[in-house]
Amino acid sequence: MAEEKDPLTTSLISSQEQALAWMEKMLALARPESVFGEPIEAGDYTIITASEAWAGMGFGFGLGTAGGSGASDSAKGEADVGEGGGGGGGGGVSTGRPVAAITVGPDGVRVERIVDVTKIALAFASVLVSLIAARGRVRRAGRG
Amino acid sequence: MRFVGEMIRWQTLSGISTKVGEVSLTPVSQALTIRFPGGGLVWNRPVAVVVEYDGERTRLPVVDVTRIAVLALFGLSLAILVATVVLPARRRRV
Repeated sequence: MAEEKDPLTTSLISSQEQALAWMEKMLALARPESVFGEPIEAGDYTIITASEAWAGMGFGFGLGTAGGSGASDSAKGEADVGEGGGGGGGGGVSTGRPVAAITVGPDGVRVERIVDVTKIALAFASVLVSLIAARGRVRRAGRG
Repeated sequence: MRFVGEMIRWQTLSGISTKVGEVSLTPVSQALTIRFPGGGLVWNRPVAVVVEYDGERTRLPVVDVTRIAVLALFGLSLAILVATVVLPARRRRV
């Protein structure tokens, strides 16, 4: 006689398998092809983009049963089991940033750097704010 | 130790070569993979391109100027913080 699984367990197992499949897809990001783009032709030049990529994910599942009396109904042949519940959740994030463009043209192969001015400016601003705050703290400490 | 090796992997990989005219380009990337029960993390960055032309191989590095600039800024701010907060506090104690 085949063992029957309850719908909750079946659904949790399938969700877990799905999450693991997603995880394998995410880990495939570690290949070099993930950060180097397909060649794009523009006139005499062919351009390949190179980007940095980040990805992360997490998931969790839980299953629980409420305690039943455990006494069996001999007339029906069924055990008195308590009700149960389960659930799961997960999330992920991925981001990318262009780093360079590789150009192949009449003048040879060149690596053109891409500078993210916004990111540098934001980092500079946050550093400046933290330094001003530290200076203020030092001044207050000096007075006290 | 082997468990840690399976959980955290830092590797440099060469990809499939692409032919552009007579030039062959092989991408090289560096990837950090962290696996843990119930999740994972991947960071992949381009490192270089190996150019093959006329039997000659040249490795062209891919420099991430933005990352260097951001790290330099944070390093500088850390140094200034140490110089303005930690060192004067030590001097006062002495």
